[in-house]
Amino acid sequence: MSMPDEAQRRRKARINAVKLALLALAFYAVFIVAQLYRGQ
Amino acid sequence: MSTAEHHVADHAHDDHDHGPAKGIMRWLTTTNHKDIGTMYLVFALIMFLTGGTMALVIRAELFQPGLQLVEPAFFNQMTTMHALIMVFGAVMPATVGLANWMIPMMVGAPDMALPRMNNWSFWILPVAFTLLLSTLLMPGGAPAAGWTMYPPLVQQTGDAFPFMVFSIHLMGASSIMGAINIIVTIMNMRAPGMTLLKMPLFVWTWLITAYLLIAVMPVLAGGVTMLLTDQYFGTTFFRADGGGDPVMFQHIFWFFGHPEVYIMILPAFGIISEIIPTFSRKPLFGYESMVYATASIAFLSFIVWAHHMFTVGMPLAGELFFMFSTMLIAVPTGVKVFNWISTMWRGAMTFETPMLFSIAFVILFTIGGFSGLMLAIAPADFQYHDSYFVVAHFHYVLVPGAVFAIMAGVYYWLPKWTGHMYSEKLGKLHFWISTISVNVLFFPQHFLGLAGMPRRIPDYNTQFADFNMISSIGAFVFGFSQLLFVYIIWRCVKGGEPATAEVWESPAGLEWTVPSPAPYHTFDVAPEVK
Repeated sequence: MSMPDEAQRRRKARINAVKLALLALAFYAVFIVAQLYRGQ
Repeated sequence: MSTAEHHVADHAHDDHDHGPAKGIMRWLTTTNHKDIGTMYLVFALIMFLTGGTMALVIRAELFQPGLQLVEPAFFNQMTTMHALIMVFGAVMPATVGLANWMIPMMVGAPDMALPRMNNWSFWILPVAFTLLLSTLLMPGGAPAAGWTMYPPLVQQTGDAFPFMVFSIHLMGASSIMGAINIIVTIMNMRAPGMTLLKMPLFVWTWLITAYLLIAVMPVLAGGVTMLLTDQYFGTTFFRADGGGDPVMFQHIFWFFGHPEVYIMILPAFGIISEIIPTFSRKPLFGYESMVYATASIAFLSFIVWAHHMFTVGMPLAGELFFMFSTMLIAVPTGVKVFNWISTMWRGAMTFETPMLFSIAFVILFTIGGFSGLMLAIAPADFQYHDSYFVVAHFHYVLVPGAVFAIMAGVYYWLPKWTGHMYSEKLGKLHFWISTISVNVLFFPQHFLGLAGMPRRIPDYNTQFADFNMISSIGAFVFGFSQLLFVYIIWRCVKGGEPATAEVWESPAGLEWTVPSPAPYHTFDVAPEVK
C-alpha cells in the first residue's frame, strides 16, 4: 500500500467515523426525545 | 508480559526505523493495535478475576442455607457488581482486545483506521471501572439493585448511584468509539482483493457486532441518564407518582440488553468459526450461510427484547409477538451449529486445546440455547421467570459459551502474539478441569430454578440445600482452575518452544503469513489477496 493510498483510506475512514458517531447520537436522541414527548 | 513485548520490540528494531517507546509511556501513548489489544486483554483478565472473586463470595454464601458470611445488602452488591464487571469489564473488553489484535492482521491493514481514538477507547475503561469499584468503599456500599438497574428499586441506591451511571456512560463512550473504529477499519482498510465475502468469519462477526454496539449503547446511555434526571433533577420518566412509567425503563433497558447478549456472543461465534476449520483441516462449511445467519441473528436481536419481561402484564398480542420472534432466533443459530458440525464431519481432526474449547463451546452453548428456547415460551416463562433456571441459562451461554470461546481464541492466537507455544499438557488440564467444573457449577442450577428457587437471594429454603452445595463446589473448582490459565499465559509469554509463522497445520488467513511473534508493524505494504 503506497502512502498516499493509505492516507486516502484513512481520510475516508475518518469521514465514515463521523457519520457513524452521528448515527449513535441519533439513537441517543430518539430515545430521549420519545420519552420527553411521552412523559413530560 | 514484558518479555513478549520485548520480543516484539526487538523485531521492530530489526526491520523498522521506530519501535515502541520505553516504559509506562509506551502504554499510555501507544497507537499500535497490538499494544492496545494486549492492554484490553490484560484488563479483561484482571476484571475476570475480580468479577470471579465476587462470584465466589456469592457461591460461598449459598453453600448452605441460612446467612453465614455476608450481610444480605452486601450480597446484593456482589450480584450486581459481578454482573456489571463480567459483562462490561471482562467479556466485552476481551473480545475488543481480540478484535484489536486480529482484525488489522486478518484484513491486511497496517493498523486500525483511527489509532489515536483507539488509545482513548481503551484508557477510558480503567477510569470507568475505578469509578464503579470505588463505590464498594462508600458508606452505603456499591449498587445493589441488579445489573438491570430497574427503577424504583435502583433509586434507593444512595451515593453509589451517580457513580454507576457515569461509569456506564464512560463504558458506553468507549464501546461506541471502539465499534466505530472497527467498522471503518473493516470498510476502508482492507487489502486489495479482500472483498467482503472473502473476509474471515471473525472479521464478519465483529463488523456486525460493531453495528449492534452503535445502535444500542446510546440507548443504554439514554436510559441511565433518564434514571439520573429522575433522581436528581425532578423529572418523572419512570416515576409513577409523576405520571411516568417504571416499566418503560425495562423496555429501554432490554432494547439495549438483548442485542447486548449478541454483542457478547457473535464475536465468540467468529472465533469458533476460525478454530474449527483449522483443526478439522477443512474449509468452513457454509461460509456464506454463516454470514447471513450472523446478520439474521443481529436483526432479530432488535425485535425480541420484551421476552425478558413477559410477566410485567403485556397485551396478549405482545406476548405472542415476542415469543415467536424469539423462537425464530433458533433458526440462524441452528444453521451455525450445524455448519460447525458439518465442518468437523469427516475432517482430519486433532484435539489441541483451542479445538477442545471450541467443541465444548458448540455442545454447551447449545444447551444454553435450548434452555433459552424453553424460556421463550411465554406461558412457561411465568414459571421460570426470576428463578435460578434463568441464571443457569444465561451462565451456560456466557461461561462455556462466550468465555470458553475467548479462551479458545487466546490459546489459538497466543503463539502468534508471543512467538512461543504454550504448554499443551497444561492447556488440556485447564480445559478438562474447567469443562467438568463448569457443568458441576451450572447444571444443578437448572434443577434449583425448576424447583422454584428465586434469583438474587442470599438465603433459601432447606429443600434447595443439596444442589446449592454441589453448585458451590463446582464454582470453587472452576474459579481456582482459572489461575492455571493465568499461569499458562504467563509461562508462554516468558518462553517456550518457538512458534512457526503458521503455528498450526496450514491454517487459513493472512495473520499466519507474518512471523511469530507478529512484528510490531505488519502489512506496511498491503498484501495481495487472490
